[in-house]
Amino acid sequence: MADSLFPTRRDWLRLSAVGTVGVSHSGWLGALAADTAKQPRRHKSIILLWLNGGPATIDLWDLKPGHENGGPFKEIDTAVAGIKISEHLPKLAKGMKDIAIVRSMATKEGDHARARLVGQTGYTPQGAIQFPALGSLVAHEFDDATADLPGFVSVGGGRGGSALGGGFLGPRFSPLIVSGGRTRFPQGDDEGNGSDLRVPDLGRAAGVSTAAQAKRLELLAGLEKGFNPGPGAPVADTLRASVEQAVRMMRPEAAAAFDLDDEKDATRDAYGRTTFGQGCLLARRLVERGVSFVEISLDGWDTHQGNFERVKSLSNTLDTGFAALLADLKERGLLNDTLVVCHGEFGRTPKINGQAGRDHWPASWAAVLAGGGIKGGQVVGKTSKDGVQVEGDPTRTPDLIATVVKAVGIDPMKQNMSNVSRPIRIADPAAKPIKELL
Amino acid sequence: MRFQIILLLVGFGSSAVRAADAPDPAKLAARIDAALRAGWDQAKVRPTVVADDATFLRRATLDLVGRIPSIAETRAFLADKSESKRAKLVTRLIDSGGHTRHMATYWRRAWVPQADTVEFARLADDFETWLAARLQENAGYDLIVRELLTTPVAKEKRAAAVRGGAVTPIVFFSANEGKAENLAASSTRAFLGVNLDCAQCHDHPFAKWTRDQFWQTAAFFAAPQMEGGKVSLQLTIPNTKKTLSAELMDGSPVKWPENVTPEAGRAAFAKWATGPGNPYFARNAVNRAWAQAFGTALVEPLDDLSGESGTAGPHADLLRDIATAFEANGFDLKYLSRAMALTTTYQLSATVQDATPSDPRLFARMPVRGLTGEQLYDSLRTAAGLAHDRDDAGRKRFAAQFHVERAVTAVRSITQSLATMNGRVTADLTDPAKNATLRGLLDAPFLDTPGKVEALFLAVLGRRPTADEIAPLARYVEAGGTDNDTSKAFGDLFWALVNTTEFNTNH
Repeated sequence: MADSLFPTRRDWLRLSAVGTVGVSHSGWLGALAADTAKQPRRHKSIILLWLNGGPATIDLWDLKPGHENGGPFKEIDTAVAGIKISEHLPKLAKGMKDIAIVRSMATKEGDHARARLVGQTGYTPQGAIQFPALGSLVAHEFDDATADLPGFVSVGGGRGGSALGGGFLGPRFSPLIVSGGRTRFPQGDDEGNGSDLRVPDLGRAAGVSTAAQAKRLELLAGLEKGFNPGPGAPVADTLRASVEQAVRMMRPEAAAAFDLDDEKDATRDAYGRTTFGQGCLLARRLVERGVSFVEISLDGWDTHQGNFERVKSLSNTLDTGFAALLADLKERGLLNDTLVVCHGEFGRTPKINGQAGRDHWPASWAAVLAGGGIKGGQVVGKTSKDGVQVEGDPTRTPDLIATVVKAVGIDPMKQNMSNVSRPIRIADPAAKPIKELL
Repeated sequence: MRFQIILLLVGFGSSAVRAADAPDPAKLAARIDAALRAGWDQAKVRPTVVADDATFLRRATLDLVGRIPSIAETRAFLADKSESKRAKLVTRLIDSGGHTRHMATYWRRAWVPQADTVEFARLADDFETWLAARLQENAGYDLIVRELLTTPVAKEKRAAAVRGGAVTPIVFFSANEGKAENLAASSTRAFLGVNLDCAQCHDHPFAKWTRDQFWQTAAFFAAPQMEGGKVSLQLTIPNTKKTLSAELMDGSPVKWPENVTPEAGRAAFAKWATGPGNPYFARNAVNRAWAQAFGTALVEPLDDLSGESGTAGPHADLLRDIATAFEANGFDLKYLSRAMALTTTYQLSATVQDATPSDPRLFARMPVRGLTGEQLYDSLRTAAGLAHDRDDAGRKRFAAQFHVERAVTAVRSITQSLATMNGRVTADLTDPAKNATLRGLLDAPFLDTPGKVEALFLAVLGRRPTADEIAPLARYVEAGGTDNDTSKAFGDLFWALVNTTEFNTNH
């Protein structure tokens, strides 16, 4: 009994709550590694391509050729007769059959921070209520405590989005941030190359060998036996569960999800060697492994000056990554189970300002959806000839969010208890899913 | 000068009473225990045993000064054979500077939770410095809140204060964007335990407050005007034509001053809110202080004092009783903290043997609570035998990363667990060159290996290891771990200890 401090096989089975077979000889870490079989997919996933700063959707998805607001970009035909998009999105034009464009987005917030909050939670800030990000809501719905990977992963963190987390759902549903090692996404032509995408603290600390790490985890598992407050101690239980999940993620097999070197060069090239493109590739690897919600941020859309040059360059990055993602998902039979959503916090002024720029414009803009079983190859809603207003019924952020969650099988009217002890629905009660898409 | 200060205190009422006759917190503690015991009897629940000395020391130190006890404090407390050592400990901790800093963070977070973001970091620091100074003087809680609510917010006055080297609680206003409606909602929640949020937009079918009352309350935070020789504070409900004047929530009349100052509305609201007989003010303070000490508050949710649970819940009477004593003793927070820490209830073990634990609302067991980011950081430093510098930028980053909303429902994210295992703070502390505890152990010729393991347990977990724990660990260290290096093996052990659930919780 002298060695009782060290965990037995039964101990780590109990601790890790992973029912598995085949215990390797290298302790806790190694033992957990036996459970490497990919989990079957039990739910759909969402990939959000977040165009940070507010994209000029009038230069992407809803051009106004011939009007003075239109700017220099030309429209091109797409794979769907009658639908035209920007000439700088040629790859997406080819994939239009899977894509739906919502041209009737109309929202109220014109300030970046507030609009981002509304865009990502579906709610206008109210008092002390901490609204969770959509990703947290989805991760919460599809929660699987035994999964190797967390339910919500955010690529390109630190762009202010990292502050948006689980809200009243708690940190367990906050995004796992895959950072690019920078505080902000690079602007303009320096779009990174994706080589620095990593999960903070996933690897061992410097100077700690694999063997030492395994031993440390064994010591930890043994010491855990010395503290047992008994039933009804949720803080202790969830803390243990979090450590165990982190340990599972540290296993080489799970951590490999984040290793893009695993992919063929041709695949990596197809996505574009930008941080955004490689982030899209990472998103595919993650949804393949059952992650419910992946958010990839592409910054630089706040084009108050030199709009057309910047949008042209960003369009190329977006077109390459987005189109490759759709093609890859399709090829792997994942597109029907993976909804890809692409938008930012608002659109930009149809009127071009004195510095060839466009300013903030929430009143009329476009969002794009693809896959996930939604009806592609169509345009929903329209804007006026000058692009200044939505003609017909406007689509609000809650409508978009209700559509997105409904597409993956979540009831938008489901309630969660909030931090102010008031139940809050996943989407605002007034939300109406866009029926044309479902 | 001194004379003036006394006059000021007397003028404000309650806060000067305290000095005259020192109240006995033990009496209040006994009343609290009796009230809760009645609840246990009624529910036929047996409380857990009283926690042992090591557990009590760790819990009280975390709760009262925000960190684990140092190895020296633990050794001294365990060696102390006097009967009254727990009471003496409570007094020593409450009278320490660490207590005021810790409580300043607690109240700041309770009052201005929005300031926990990078944007407000500097102003939140100022707020805590301001509050710590007030707590250090043991200013009455009512006085503190009045000072906060009536802080000048006009630019020129603020600038003058800053030039004078003063720190101010201005973040309360900035974090609420200076908007009357936000300030009203935050003030009623923070200082009265009343949630008016729903009433902002509509009359709620089940809540007591109407939309008119919300905007009448908000009007106190609007800019005052002089109208017909009288102070006028008015607000128009957005998207309506309805304009309302400042009215107190309970309908009592307001005595406006002759001359209007920019703070007139806030001063009138503060006078009513903190004044004698306000039905919420003292109860809210006690309820929130209770939640800090016991995890669950007497009335939950914290901002429902005007609702069913606040008026008729199982502990509504107990809360009223404690609040009355608190108010009668000049809103003395230290008195309140001592009374709670001296209860037998506070000393109950967190460990249950039964398969079905009792309802946490009965307080028949101390819940296992999470640590705030600040508590965790300061505890890591204490375990490593390092001084804790509160102005350390690393501490702020760490505290933000490990932010918890309520200790009793704290949840760790994977990112946070990865950081405690592989992050830089831990990595640094497992290096004997940066860890005074480890360095001291490695250089201690008078300790054998089991003695060193014991010392490490005392430093990190605040308790001695069991025989089952000590033998294999001593052997592991003696064998030099995986790299045949004793100092690294001790680093491994330190790493494992600081990653345990035991270290990462308050129990």
